[in-house]
Amino acid sequence: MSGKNENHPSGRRNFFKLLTAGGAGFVLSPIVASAPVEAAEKMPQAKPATNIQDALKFPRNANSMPGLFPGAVTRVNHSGCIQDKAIQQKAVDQMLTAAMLNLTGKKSVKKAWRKFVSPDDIIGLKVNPVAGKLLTTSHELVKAVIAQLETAGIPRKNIVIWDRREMELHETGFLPENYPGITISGTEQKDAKGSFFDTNGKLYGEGMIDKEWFYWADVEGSYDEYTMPYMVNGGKHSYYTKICTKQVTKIINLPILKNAGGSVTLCLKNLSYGAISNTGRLHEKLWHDSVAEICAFPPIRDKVVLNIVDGLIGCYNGGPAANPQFICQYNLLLAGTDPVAVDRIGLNIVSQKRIEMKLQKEEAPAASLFLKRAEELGLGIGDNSRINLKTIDLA
Amino acid sequence: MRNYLIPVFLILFSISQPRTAFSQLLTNDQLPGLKIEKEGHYDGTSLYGYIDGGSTLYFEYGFERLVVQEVTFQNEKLTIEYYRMKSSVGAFGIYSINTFQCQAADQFGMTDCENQYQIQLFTGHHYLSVVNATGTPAAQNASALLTRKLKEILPAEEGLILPAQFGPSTNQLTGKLKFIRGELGLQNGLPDWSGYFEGVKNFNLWFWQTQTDGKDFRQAHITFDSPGDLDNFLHNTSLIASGDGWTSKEGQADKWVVKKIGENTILVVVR
Repeated sequence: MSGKNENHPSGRRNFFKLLTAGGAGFVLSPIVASAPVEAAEKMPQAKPATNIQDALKFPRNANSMPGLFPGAVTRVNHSGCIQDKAIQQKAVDQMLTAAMLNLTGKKSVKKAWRKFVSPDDIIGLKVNPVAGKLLTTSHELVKAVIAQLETAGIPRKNIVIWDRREMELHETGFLPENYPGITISGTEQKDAKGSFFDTNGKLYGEGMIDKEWFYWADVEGSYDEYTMPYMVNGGKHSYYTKICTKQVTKIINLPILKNAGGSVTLCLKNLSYGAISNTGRLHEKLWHDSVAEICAFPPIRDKVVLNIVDGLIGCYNGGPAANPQFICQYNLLLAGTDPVAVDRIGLNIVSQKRIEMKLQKEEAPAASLFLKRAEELGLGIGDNSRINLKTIDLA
Repeated sequence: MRNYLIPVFLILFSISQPRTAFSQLLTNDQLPGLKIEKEGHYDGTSLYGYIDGGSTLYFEYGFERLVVQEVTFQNEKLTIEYYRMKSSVGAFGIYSINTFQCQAADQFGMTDCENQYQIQLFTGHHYLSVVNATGTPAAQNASALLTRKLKEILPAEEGLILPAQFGPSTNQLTGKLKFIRGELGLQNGLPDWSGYFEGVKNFNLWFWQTQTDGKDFRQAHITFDSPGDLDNFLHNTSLIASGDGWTSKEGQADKWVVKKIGENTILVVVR
């Protein structure tokens, strides 16, 4: 946890002065009077321009999204994967094995994984610790993936667990002592003293971004000194992390089954906002477009070979943060090379849960806009009728 | 018709406890056995550093400051998040869309929601969340004690302001009343109405839902920023002009009655 530690002047605005019986202006009662409310803040306006055309100039290769199995999604359910609130490692191992064999059609775990990776690859496992300990990519799934990669002949030294913020990785238990021999890396970093800056006053994060690869959008990021370490840079450029552009040769994407408002934050969101700097500016006007477009650039498009959604524990509201009352046990994994198809199936599951819980009557009208954009960019298939979903029930 | 300033409730609580320097939230000496393990402060856009994309919802409601404390109390690990918002409606708005199916509500003498893993509370400009890690009775009890202490030290401020000609005749607001002022609030708090606000730039929506004779009764008070926004809303809802307002077409499942009560303000009743 970080930030500044000083007294904060309130700076609040008084819209009106209350007249009360005792002359006091402040009360603890929830309701005291009726009056007009503060003017609303601006809603999203016209869509800003981006450099997406630059991404489309790069030729695709054999690994490019949607990968080896366009439109294919394997769902594995296991009703016993969580017992006494604890995720069961053995059950997760079984679920992952079933997912990999079903998706690839192979008879062995080794052959299944070797469809995607080789011992020469440096493999990045993109986890999602942003919501903290309550709702991170589970260690059971990460350990199952690592064990199967080892079975496939991948040495531990060739595996990198990564995300945008190294400190969040550490806070959620992605530590060297828990993952011996494996590299753990984040774009935004602090040193042992808790500083984001090196002795020259330079952000550690600056050394982690690759200025040759960027997503430009006509939206300006402007941050105070406390926010900048989390954004690395302001302005209209978001730079890709060197973890993607230089460090790893393949990426296995491990998001969590979470909602984002009426939509979801799964494969594409985990990749896009996890891989670049200066994201704060994109949320309001470009959420749907940027989630898809950032994944259309080669450092992501051509390296992500597999997506495995951790749906053991997820949430159906309050996401992407972890609001305990909305956290639930989905008891499932989703696997596929096509991030758009996997996200479409994930959105179906989350929307259904929201309907069951009476949060909404039908899928939110704008929930799938990012899928539509991703499909336009050739990243995968977002149409339910064209997705080949296979479901396996293990218990 | 003008909006009036009409008092709905005027319930004052005396404030007898001494106040602490509030930027600290809790300190180790305020409860026996309390230990602050970690503390973080965020204001302005630095909220991105704490919850990244989740912060945009708080910005929509007028975020001012967050204090986070991870504490150990009665051998339980608890996380306190204290959000100070720019207005009481902003604080209530965040509270109203973050609370859901409360096991107990409005128990602490103010607007609050208790669940197995979390207690949430709204008062003045404050939105508070206390999360326990295990959900056990002992953890819930520790959370409740901590929340009571926090309630004592929260600075008293003006209460929630409801618009004229609208509003519940009760202080039991949790789970019934929502305040929404933007797209993200709609997505999180009232997603089924998102479509009605397409093309609407600015609005303030109060939404009150109860049940009468087993049937839903919904009332909304909506103030738009411009006549164009009001027109867009009416277009999206497919309402037809009727007398001094609008109503839903024959045969629709929900019966809407809408009246214009201000220049760009309407009152909606849905049965």
